[in-house]
Order: sequence, then C-alpha cells, then structure tokens
Amino acid sequence: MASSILLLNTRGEVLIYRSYRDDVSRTEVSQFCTQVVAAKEASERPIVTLNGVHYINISQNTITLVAASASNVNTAMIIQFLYKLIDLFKAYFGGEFNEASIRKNYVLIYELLDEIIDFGLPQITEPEVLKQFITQGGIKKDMKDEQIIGALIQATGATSWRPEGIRYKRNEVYIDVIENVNVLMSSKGTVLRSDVSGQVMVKSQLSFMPECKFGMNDKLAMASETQSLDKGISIDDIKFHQCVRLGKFDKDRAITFIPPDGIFELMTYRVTENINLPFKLMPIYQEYGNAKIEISLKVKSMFDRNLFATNVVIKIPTPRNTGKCNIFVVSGKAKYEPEQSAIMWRIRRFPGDSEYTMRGSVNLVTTSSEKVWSKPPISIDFQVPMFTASGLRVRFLRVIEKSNYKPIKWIRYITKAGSYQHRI
Amino acid sequence: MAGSHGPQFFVDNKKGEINELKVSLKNIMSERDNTKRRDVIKKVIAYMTLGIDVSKLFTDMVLISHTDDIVQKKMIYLYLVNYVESNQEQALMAINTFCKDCKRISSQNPKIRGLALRNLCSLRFPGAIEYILSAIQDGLSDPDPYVRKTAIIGLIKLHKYSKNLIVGSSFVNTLYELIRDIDPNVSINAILALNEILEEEGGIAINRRMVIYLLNRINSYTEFGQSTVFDLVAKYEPQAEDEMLDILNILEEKLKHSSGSVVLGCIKVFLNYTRDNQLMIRQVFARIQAPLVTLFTGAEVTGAYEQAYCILAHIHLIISKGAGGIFEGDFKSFFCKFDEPTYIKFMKIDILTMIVSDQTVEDVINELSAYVTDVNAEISKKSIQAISKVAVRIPFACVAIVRQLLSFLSLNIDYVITETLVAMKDLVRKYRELTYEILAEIENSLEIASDEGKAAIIWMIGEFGEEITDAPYIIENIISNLIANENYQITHAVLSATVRLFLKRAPEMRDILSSLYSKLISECDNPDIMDRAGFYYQLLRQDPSIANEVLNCEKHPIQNFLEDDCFDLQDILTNEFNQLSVIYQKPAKQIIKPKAELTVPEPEQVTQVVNDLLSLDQVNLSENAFKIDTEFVMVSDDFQQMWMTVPDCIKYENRLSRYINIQEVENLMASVGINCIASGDQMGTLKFFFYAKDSGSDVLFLAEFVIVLAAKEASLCVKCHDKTAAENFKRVFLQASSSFLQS
Repeated sequence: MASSILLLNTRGEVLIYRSYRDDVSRTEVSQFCTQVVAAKEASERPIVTLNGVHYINISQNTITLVAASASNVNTAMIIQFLYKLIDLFKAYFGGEFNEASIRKNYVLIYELLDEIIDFGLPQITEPEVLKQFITQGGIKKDMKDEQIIGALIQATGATSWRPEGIRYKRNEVYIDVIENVNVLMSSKGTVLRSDVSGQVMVKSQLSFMPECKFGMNDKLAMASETQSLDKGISIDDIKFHQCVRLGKFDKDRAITFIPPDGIFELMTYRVTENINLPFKLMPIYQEYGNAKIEISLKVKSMFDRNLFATNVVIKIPTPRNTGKCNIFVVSGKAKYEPEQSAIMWRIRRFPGDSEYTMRGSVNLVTTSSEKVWSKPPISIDFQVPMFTASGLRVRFLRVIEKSNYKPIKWIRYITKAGSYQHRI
Repeated sequence: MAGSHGPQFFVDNKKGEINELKVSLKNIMSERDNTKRRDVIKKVIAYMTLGIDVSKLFTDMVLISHTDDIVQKKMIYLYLVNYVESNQEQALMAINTFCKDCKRISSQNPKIRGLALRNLCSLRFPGAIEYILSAIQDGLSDPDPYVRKTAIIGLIKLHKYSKNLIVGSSFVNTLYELIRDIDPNVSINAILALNEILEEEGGIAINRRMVIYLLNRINSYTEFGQSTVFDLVAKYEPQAEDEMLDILNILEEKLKHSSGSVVLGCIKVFLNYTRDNQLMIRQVFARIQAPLVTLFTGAEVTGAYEQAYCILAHIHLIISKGAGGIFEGDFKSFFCKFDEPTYIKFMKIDILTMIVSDQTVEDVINELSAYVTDVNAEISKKSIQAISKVAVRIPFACVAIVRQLLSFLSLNIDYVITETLVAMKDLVRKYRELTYEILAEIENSLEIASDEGKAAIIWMIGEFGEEITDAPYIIENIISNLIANENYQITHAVLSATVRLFLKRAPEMRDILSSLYSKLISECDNPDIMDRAGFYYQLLRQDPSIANEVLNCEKHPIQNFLEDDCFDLQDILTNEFNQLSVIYQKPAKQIIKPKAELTVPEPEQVTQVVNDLLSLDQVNLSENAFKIDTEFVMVSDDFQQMWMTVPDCIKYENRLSRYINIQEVENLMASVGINCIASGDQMGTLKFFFYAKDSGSDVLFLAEFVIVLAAKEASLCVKCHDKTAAENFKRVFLQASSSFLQS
C-alpha cells in the first residue's frame, strides 16, 4: 500500500521521510512538496495524483502527513491510518503535535515508523501496546526482557486492547457523555438541519479483566422492559469501540465489553429526532445604504432553569470595511474584533430559561473594492454541563469481575456546540 | 595556533578520536554494565550521522554485537546496514551477525530475532539471497509471532527484488498454511503477502473454507486486518444463495464499526454479492444508508474532512448506481456548512442534485441559492450549475427555478451572471416554453457578462429571434462594437446568430448581415470563422430554404443526463469499491501507471522479427535439419543406463542474469520439448537432468544442468553420440534459457 510516509511543514519542507518501497522515488515525492504543499493547495486537495503517483494527505496543526503510493490503494484505510499516526505521535509527545515536537523527537518517530509499518503494510498501531516495547527514543527507559515478551504477546494476542495483570488500589470508572449539537438555521429562523453527534468516553481504572455492561435510555433496548415509563430516545446509528461485542448488541441491544485500561471512546452515536436545541437566536440586520448596519440579536436559552451554560461565545459577523461600532449589551462583554471581522460577545455564565439582547450599530468605511460581503453565519459556541440535547441518559454500568470488587462510578454529561450556525 | 602543539598532532585529531573509540569498543567487550556499553556505541552512531567515516570500526562493532540489550542491537544494526554495501568482506560479516541473531540458540529475545531478520531482508545484493532464504525459512516456523510476521514481510521484499524466486516455490504453500496461524497479525500478513506474490495470477486463491475460517475469527483482527479480509471475501463467489445470506448476516454487525475502511469494506462485500439481484440490492442500499451518513457526519465533527470526503465519494458512487432514493430523506445532511473545505462542498452540491425529488426540490433550491453568494467564486458557479441540473431533473419545478436564476442577474457579480446565462441557455434547450420569461430579462445583462455569458445570450437571440421584437437592433449594436480579431468565441456566436436571424427576419436583417460580412472580410483573420462565413454564404446563395432547414432545424428535446447512461463504468467500479478508483470515478487502469518492467520485452521481439525476415531461408534450413520431438517420453531406468554409458560431449558455463526457481526452468525447457526427468534443490544449488530427441535423426540428448544461486553460476553438460547434433541441442537449450542466462 503506502510506498512512503512523509511529514511536511506548511512550506513544503520535509521533516520526516520514510520510504518503504522503491516504486515511488524521492524526486517524485519532492514534486508534490513543491507543487502542492508549498503552493498551499494541499488543504484543498486531500487526494492528488502527479505523474501516476497518488498522494493522500491530511493536515493538522500546520503539519501535513502524506502517504505516497503507486497502486490502487484503499483510500479510507490510508486516511484512517494517517490519523492514527497523529494519535500515536500525540501519545508519545505528551499530547503535543507540531513542528517543534517533531523535530525534537525525530529519532523516536523513525523508530516508530519502523515498527508500525513494515514494507508499507500496517503492523502494530495500538499506542498502548507499542508504548510497552518502544522505549522513548530507545534509550530513556530500561526494559527487562520478560516485559518485552509480555508486551509482544499482547501486541499479537487476541485481546489486543488490554494487557493482563492490571491492578488498582481504588477501582474507579468515569463516564463522560459528550454531545455536539449541529444546527443550521435559515435567515428566517427555520431549522434547516439539526443533529447531535455524541460520544461516550470512558476512563477505566479497573483491576484484572472486568466484564462490563452498559445501559442507556435507548428506545429499542427499553422496549423489552415493560415496567419502565420512560419511552427512551431513538438513536439513528451507533458505532462502537472494537472491545464491544457487536453480536450481542445485535441480538438484544445489550452493550457488553472488556474495557481497555485508561481513557477510550466507548461509542459514538447520532440522533436526529426530537433534539432539544439549547439556544435560540433571533437576529435582525438592518442595512442603511453602504454606510451603516444596525444589528440586534436576541439569544434565548431553552434548557432548564437549574442548569447554566458556560463560556458562551457568540460571533456576529460584520463586513470587512467595518469602522466604528457602538455595542450595547446587558450581560457579558461584547466588542468588535477586526481580525475576526466580527463582534464577539462573550458571556461566562448563561442561566437556563432566560433571554439576553445585544444591540449595535456598525459604521462602514467606504472602500474602493467592490467585493460583496459574503455574509457568513452567526455562530455560537457554548458548553452546557449536565444537559444532553438528545435526551440520552446512562441507566446503568455493571462491572463483573471474579474478585468481586465494587468500583466507584462517576457520570458526567455535557453538551457542546458543534457547528451551531444561524444564517443572516 | 602554533602554540606548544605540533601541527601534525592537530591534523591527526579526527583519526585519533576514531582510534580512541576503537580502544573503548575493545574495552567494553567484557563490560557488563549496559549503560556504559550504550554510551560508547552511541558515540559511534553520533559520528556516523555527522558524516564522519567510521567504517574502520566495523570489525569491533561486529564483535560487540553479542548482547541481549535491544537498544544496543538497534544501534549496531543501524551501523551495519549503513556500511554493509561499501565493502564485500564487511557485508559477509554483517550477514553473519544478522543470521546468528536470527537463530533461536543465540538470541532468546524474539524481538531481537525479528529485528535482525527485518534488517537482513532489507539488504539488496546478490550474495545475500541464499542466507536470507534460509533465515526466512527458520523465521516462518519460529515459535514467536513477531518473528513469523516479520519473516512473511521478508518474503514480499524478496519477491519484489527477484520476481521468480518465490512464485512456484514451497513458500507459497507455507504462506497458505500461515493464514491459519494462531496469531492474527501473522495471518493477515500471510494474506497480504500472497496477494502481492501471486499478483499476476490475480492474487490469493480463495475458497469456501477459507472464507468461513476468516469470518469466524474476524473479531481478532485489527481494523486494518478486517479491511484486508473483507477485500478478500468480496472476491469470493458464494455457491448458493443460502451461503451468500449466511455470509452477509455475519457481516451485518460490522456496519456498526467505527472505522470507515471496515464499514466500506463490508459494503463492498454486500454490493458484490447482490450485484445481479435487483430486489436484494434495494435492501442492501436501505441497510447501508444510516452507517454511511453517520460515518461522514462523524468525520466532519472531528474535523477529519479528508475521511468525510472519501466517504462522500463512495456515497456519490452508490447514488449514481441507482440508490438516490434512500438518501432522499437525509438530504439535509448534505447541506454545506460555512467553514467546510471546498472539496467537501463540491461533493455535497453534486450529491444534492442527484438525490433531489419532487418533495425536496423547494428546500434544495433555496439551499443552493444561498451558496450563490458564497465568497468563493468556484462554489458560486458550481451551485448555479447544480440549480440548472435540478431544473432538468425535476420538470415541474422548472418555472420556479428559472425565476430564481433570473434573480441572480440582479446581484451584479460578473461570474454569477455569466454562469447563470450559460445555465439558462442549457435550460431553454430542454424547456422551450420558458423562453419568453427568460428573454425578457437577459438583455440588460449583456454588458456585465463576460465572454461566455455574452455568447450564451447571442445564441439565444439567434435561436429565438422571432420572439424578441428588437432582436435585430440588439445584434446590430453588438456587431458595431465587435472587434473581430479580439474574441473568437463571441465573433463565432455573432456570425451564427446573425445568419439564423436573417433566415427568420430577412427584411430587417439584410443590412445588418452585409455589414457583418464586410466587417469580417476587412478585419478577421481567423481561418475557422472565415471558413464558416464562407460556408454560410454558399448555403444562402444556393437556396435560402435549404439554409433554413440546416440552420433552424427541429431539435431533439433533451431527456436525461449523460452520466445516467454510464452504467458500464459504474459496474467496473463495484469491483474496485473502497479503493482510489472511487475517488476518481475511473477504473484502475486509467489511474495506475503500468509497471515499468512490462514494457521492456517488446523491442526485442521486433528485432527478432526483423532477423527472421532477413535470414528467413537460413532459419528454415536449420529448423528442418534439427527439430526436437516434443512427444518423446523416456523412463528413468533407461535414462540412468544411458547416462552411465554415453560420453560427455559438450560442456558449457555461463552466469545467471537473474534469480530463478526450479519450476520456471522446467517450464521453459518443456516449452521447447526438452523434458526434465529429475530435479532438486540442495542449499541453493539447483540441479536438473534433461533429455530430448531429434525427430529427424532420432539422436538422443541427455543433459545435466546445475545452477548455484548464491554465485549466480550455471553449467551445462550434454551427453550425446553426435557432436554436431549436440551443438544444435545446445543452441535450442540456450535459446530457451536466454531469459535467465547472460548473453
């Protein structure tokens, strides 16, 4: 599959180059660097073909990762693999992934690239497993042979995600339900699309080999339990971590698994029906010729009075030739930020079931350029703790282990703005 | 500088350091403390990376390589691989070190064995092949999976180095056995290796048992492994419908997997199996809709737009295969967000035009209209094209859509106007009844539009001139402003439109037409336009009614889009689902460049033909005189008896031009009628016994042929009673072996 893997910076300079097969030469690859990456076209073209060589690239934090290949490759697999590489590098660099961390750790990166791909074919890619037998840079940590053999068994064994013999003093498990609400409202205030893409993150600190069963208010799963009054919510589609037994879920919608150690994403899901939109925006843009715009924006929180949203940031776009703004708000702070071309209205704490208004007049400077203002949508960013836009609730998490310990369980919910936009 | 130190001491400084290193390497040979040993080796590597020649330390590095410490091993291997190609003697020492480390007796740690094997397999010079082969042989049966999986990849590397070394050897069978290895990574690597090694035969041979076996343990594989297995399963053809349904039932749960390539791989199996069953393919489409939507929306949320793009490309393909209906309800998921990259927006706009229906047309058109004001001109143009596509697809909405299009003209943006005019030109070709509505509005746009848009207006004036009262005056105006040599596109359009209009409204147009012709004659030097003007002139002079028939003929109404008819192409794409072909919407042979080595043999054939032509008689003569009897069969007892009695007649030695295996040699010889009675492989030495008979003179030939792979040597010994006939036999033999012997 991949003939070579490269890491480039925005100027198209090669930071890391590892070649696996000789069917793609370095000169061919450097064409891509100069013609596409240096020309700033990479982010507009994820898959590029130059002279019969295919370059599949992804960009993150000003770094472009490229896989070059001369054959009819499985594109989805390569893109996924490149993202996996980023995860892996982050796991090794302590969460950082930028040009500096790459330059600092290049020995380690080459060592990793040796281990996770052999002759262009992906081998071991689990960060947890790899971490146990690639020492940081190969020299920092001393490792005993038994440990390495142990790691190898896991690297190639059946329960690849969990090593044997984990032991904790306090057995704890944290569940975070994180929901991203995506809303697109038309300028008239009708909902064009709304959906929730949620994820359930689990941090498990459990000893030995626990067997877990996870339950939520899924309509289909609750249909079998008649005593329940709550109807549950309908989930459009669910995707699970590889540890979940999919066969069991298909049979009776039960989610059972042996968790990996540490933080992992148990499942992601998507809901499109009956979404509780946390905020409603009511903007009015009044244009007075080419000189002035009056904006008034009413924001209403639609969730329960006991709850509150934090870090609410509303971005109200204004034309590029904005001169002076007079803004009036009752709560929070609002000011015009030229680099954003928008009025940024920040409210640290927004209680439920309440309404705030912003009024502003924008004076426009006359300019020579006749370019029409693109009118980007108003967007809002927020977090509402202990609220789920989909209405999803965790009903139970049962942990069964031979030694019969009782773990402490913590559950948190949070709803964040995904892309929450209102057109103007 | 001069100081107390003599200059020669200063010059020797570097050498001194290397000597110093040499001493410390000797000292640490008996050192137990790994940290001290590492420090010294690190120094050597540091010098090496700085570009200082430390090849002198080779012997010492080999000597201290006896260690269990993996960190030291990695560094020593790096050193050995770096210097191995510079010196033949050193190469052998390095190979020895690797071979020793590959053995279980000398290294207990499987990681070291794997590491050594991987480094050994990446060496690329002829002498190493023999050692690599035996190391791989051991590695394949190693108790540790890490070594086994490395050995399998080693086989692929060897195969790429020398095409015919592995094909046909016993390694292929071993690989088939390793698919059933207890370790999932080994199993997947074996599949990958077989696919590459047997590429020319169409990849790995798959049967029912293998499919069932792989699906039973599918959960043990990683997501990359699962994709590989699905690719394989998709190639299999189930014998009966029950079997097919069983497989699909097992696979269904995989549609919930969070990995895009696994889900797409799984869909590939579904599409391939139900390809010929219209009813089932509907069900499959309905089943895969939700997972696909989740995948791409999920990828968008996490910012993995590249993955979203890849999945959208697959959705695009599935829709163009006739699954438009199932995504209809989800049309809002394909609305573009403001901050998405252009390539995602393009894909979504395309998909929207494909899934739009009578119920959704209003929402879709409103949405597409919103993109027209996008700052990005490309998106704006694309959405106007999309709107006109929707109008063609949904006839009942066309009036509303045209009004929407007309409203764009008042935006006063040149590219929007141009694109809108072009779109409307296409629309009136299908909906002639809309003409009046459109024509009333477009005249004003003539000044702002760019060339393409102007040409579109002029075309419409020519086409519908009878319905526009002041059409002649518009044309007249255009002609008076026309600079013929400046813009061919417009000149072309004006010429056609004027002539057509003349045929419809001759009295008003007469003078205008003549003024255009005089302008063209005096100004224009474009041969195309002049040709066309001449053609019109002739046509009109001949008979205006014929000209009218030719130029203003009835046009066939447009029924559907071209891409709807390209089903053949789409079928090819089913086989290459989940691969690059889908992104480009082209079959593999159009996007993958052919391998270089395939082009080499052709010129040789050409020269052979030429030789034949020149020396036709000679060749025929010699062929008549000597022809091997292809039917002749000999039993081994006879052979043995003759071998003892007949004297050696010819001895011949040569060198191999490439590596070859037993099977291939036998096949080559059999193709010219030389049969093999016995062959064998002893530690890289291939030995063959051949026999043949001349059909004319019944002379028998016996031959012994020995190949030493490591040394690349080949020797032939022919036994025969007739010396001249033996020469003929040798010639045939060498011709057959020309592909692997040096000329």
